[in-house]
Amino acid sequence: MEKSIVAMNLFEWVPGYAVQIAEIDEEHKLWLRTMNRFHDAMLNGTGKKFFRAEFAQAAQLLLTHFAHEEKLMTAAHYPHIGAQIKEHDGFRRTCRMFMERFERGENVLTVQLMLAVSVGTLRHGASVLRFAEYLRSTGHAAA
Amino acid sequence: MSGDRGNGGNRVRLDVILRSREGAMPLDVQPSGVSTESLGQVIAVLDSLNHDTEQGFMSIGAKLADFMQTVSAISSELTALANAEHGQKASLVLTHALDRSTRMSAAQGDRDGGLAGMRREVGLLKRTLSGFQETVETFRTLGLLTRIETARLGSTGADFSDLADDVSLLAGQVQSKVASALSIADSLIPPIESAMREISALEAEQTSDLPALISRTLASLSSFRDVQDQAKESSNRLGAKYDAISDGFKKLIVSIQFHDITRQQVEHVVEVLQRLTSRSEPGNGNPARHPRGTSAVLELQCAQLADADKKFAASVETVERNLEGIARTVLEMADESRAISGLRDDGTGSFFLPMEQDCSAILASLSHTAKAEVATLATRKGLAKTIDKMSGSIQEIQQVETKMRRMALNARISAFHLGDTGSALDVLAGSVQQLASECKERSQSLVTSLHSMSNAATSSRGEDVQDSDSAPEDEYVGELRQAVADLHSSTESSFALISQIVARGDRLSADIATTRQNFSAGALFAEAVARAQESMKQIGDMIQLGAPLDDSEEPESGLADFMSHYTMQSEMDVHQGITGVATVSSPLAAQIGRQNLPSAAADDLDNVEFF
Repeated sequence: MEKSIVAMNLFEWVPGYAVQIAEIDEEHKLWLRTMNRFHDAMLNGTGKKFFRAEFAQAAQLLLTHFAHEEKLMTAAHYPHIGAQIKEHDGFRRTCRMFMERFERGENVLTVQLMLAVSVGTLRHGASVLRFAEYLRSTGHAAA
Repeated sequence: MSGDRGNGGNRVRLDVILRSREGAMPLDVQPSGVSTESLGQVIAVLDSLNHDTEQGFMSIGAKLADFMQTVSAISSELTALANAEHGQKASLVLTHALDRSTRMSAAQGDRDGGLAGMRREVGLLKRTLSGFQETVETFRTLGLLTRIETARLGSTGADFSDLADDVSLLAGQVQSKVASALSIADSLIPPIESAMREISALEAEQTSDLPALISRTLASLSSFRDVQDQAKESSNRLGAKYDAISDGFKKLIVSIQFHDITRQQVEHVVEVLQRLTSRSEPGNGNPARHPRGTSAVLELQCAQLADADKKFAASVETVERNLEGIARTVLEMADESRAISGLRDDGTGSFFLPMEQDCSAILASLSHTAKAEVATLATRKGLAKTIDKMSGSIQEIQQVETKMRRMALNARISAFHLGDTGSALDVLAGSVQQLASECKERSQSLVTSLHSMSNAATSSRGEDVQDSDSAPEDEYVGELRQAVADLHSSTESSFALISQIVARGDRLSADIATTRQNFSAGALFAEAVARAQESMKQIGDMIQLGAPLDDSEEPESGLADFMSHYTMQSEMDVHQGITGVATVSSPLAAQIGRQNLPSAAADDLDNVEFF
């Protein structure tokens, strides 16, 4: 791609995502940064290289994050926790599927992966907004 | 955006001109019956109005640079997408590869057939070798009969006693060599069958054949070229739109700058009102020395505010119209980019997906082909060595046969010398000779089989078999693999770029929508002006009602002095409209007088200094 093309942050952190729990907020930010770096690599045609070097770690981060989030939701008696876990499971399956394919030596389908994680990330973003609102409304987090 | 404010040339810096104007408004008229407190409230409303509306305009001004930058980025990205040499080299390689891959598929059939043929050859070899077993038994029988016959002949047949021993000995040797050859033949079968199983398993893993995959990828590339054509058209359209958007932004900036004119008008009104309050008689708070003059001043200020309101409304309307136009164009661009990608909200629908899958399948197919060739090569290398060993055994059998034939010939000559007595031995020697000839034919057939197998083992990869342990990936496969990998890289790159264009468009649309939503200066201004006018009218009415009638007082007392201090043509026009007295423009007012309305100024956009 031409040098004049400047990568933008495809995924943006918005203040509404903040659940006011530093650990969770940092994990969200880190994931978005990772996704933006993946996008940047794809823009340069080096998505596979990025995947080989970093995706395992990124997927691990996501799995750990979901565990943290579910623990927090349980503690906060979040009424939509069931739907949230279902959504997490879908995202977990997606990540595992790509990792397994990679470990089997299959070619990495970066476009497919980016689409899958983009859809997953956007869905998660909407869920996080809902959860953050719940935490604020129930006094678990500062408004 | 120009940052060179010192090099204005003909540019009109409205804000600097208006703000630098020195001198106060003339105010010889005195407040009469004016409520200082009420006027103070009006002043506060107008001051606050100027501040608030300025904030509204400034927030739009601050966004403009971002908007322009984003539109420019989208334009560059669409151009890059249209001009990307996406897969052009890959397309050439793939077209060439289609022909080659068809042949490769045929070679795959040959490979399978070759191994199966070798498997058949080994079977034949074994059957031929098994045939030697009977020959050996016959030899042994002939040796025994020879021994019996020589014993019967007694001393006459003494010369033939060695013949019996030799036949037995040679039969033993043949048996030993045949057993060895059979053992070698047995060892040939497992690797061939193993290779056949491995190749068969690899073929089962392959979901599509290579030529079909390559054809599909070429079709996908053709689809991408359509996308590029669309991007090119979009880029061209965007070029025109970009000009329109830039023009819209310039008009927007002019409209924003015209806020300075209305602000100045409002400031002038505030200044007059402040002077009215500051000159009120101390003590009563309701001075009424010149009630008719004060009332006329208030009426004039109401008219100035009404004029400012009209201009402000026109300016706001232009801002909103321009923002709406820009938003519409940006939205069209975003929609167009999304249409190019073919992406649906759930992440499906894009031709990029099958294209990537086909690239991946081609690479997998190449990998399978390479593995199958490695397996075949390894098998053939092993077979070649084994066949060499077997050839050694067959050569030894042939040597034994030669000895037998020679021995049988000698025996027949000796039997001939014996005459009738040796006729039986002659028959036996003839049989040995016949048998040896049959052996020769059989071993010749073995040699032919081995030669054929040896050829099959070394035919396609003769050099590799002999000299190399490297994978059989020739230059062509390497080139194809690289081309497909490059194609995938450019596919993901173009996909990422389209995603970026779509995201930029969406974000810009949302940003403009928010900016439009937050831009409430028009309503704010109209409401505040209406309130101020109402208050001033009430104050004026109160003055008229409460003050003693003084016929000597001229209603327009002192108003004429305002004329020389106006800085804008519109102020003079309003003044003339109220008093009926034609004004004389000040040099400053004449300079900026033509800058009356945004629409007029917009005709000369090049003279406008951006923020």
